Amino acid sequence: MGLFFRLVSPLPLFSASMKQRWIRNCIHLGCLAFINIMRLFGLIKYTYKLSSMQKATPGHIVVANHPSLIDAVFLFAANKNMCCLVKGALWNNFFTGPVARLAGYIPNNTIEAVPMAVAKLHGGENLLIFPEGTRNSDNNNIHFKRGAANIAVAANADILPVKISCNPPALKKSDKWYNIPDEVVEFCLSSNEQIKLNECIDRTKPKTRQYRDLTQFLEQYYLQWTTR
Amino acid sequence: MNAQKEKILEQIKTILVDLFELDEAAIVPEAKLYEDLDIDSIDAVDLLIDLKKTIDVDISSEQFNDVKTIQDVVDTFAELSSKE
Repeated sequence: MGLFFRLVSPLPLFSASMKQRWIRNCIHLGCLAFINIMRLFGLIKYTYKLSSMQKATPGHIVVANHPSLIDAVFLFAANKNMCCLVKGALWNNFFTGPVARLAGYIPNNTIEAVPMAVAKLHGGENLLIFPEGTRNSDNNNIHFKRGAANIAVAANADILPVKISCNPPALKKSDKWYNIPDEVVEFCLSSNEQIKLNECIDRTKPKTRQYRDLTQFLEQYYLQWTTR
Repeated sequence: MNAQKEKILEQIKTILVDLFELDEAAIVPEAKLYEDLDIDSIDAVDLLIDLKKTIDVDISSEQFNDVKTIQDVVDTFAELSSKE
């Protein structure tokens, strides 16, 4: 895969934005195929309740909790053209790096990530961020990093909250990917209404406080939402 | 610590309390920005903007990258403002 995408990148005649759209579509179709094959083999079941996501105005940040390894797969399967903030480790990986670059994703290990994300959002793209940074290893607590709030405040972008549930818990951080439960794993993805920043934080405060207030707001929001 | 550095430390304290809702008692010269005060690289950009407004010196973000503790911030700013 990595090799294939490495060969694609220098292709002449096609503009970068065209290649980006093409790659994102490939990712979308690949993810859709993956979850359908998993379902066909009776390994998983999944439900989408994402009507508010489909109706949302473009240029928003899709925020989601991160219980399992394949959360991003479900979200890419539901969205044809979505940007994504990726871990530095994936950006520099031999196989996933070239794909992430061609798809116009954003690495999280550079200070430039914020202005890059702001430009994408203002250009009308939607940006997926898992503010937990990595898969959640403690189901009863939620700890968000501030990156999502940094970007939201800088771009004045709305937040589209997505809740991912996985029953029984599978493909967690501590699990090996081949150790899966005997029963069918049920995934459910639901989205809430878009959150506007001025409805949840005081925009007149210094930005540094807004980052913290918004992060705290989102943590509380998810804590209530996921334990309900 | 001389009077000039004392003054800079006071100015830094005021800004930190204002920007990060920190407890003033936690802002001691040996406190580390990243580990002890939970100030990350993005916060540092905002902090630098505010510091430059209060203490009129020309400092690049590269110079600010090297600071680790409150004492480093004080020293860097003291050195630059004495040059002018």
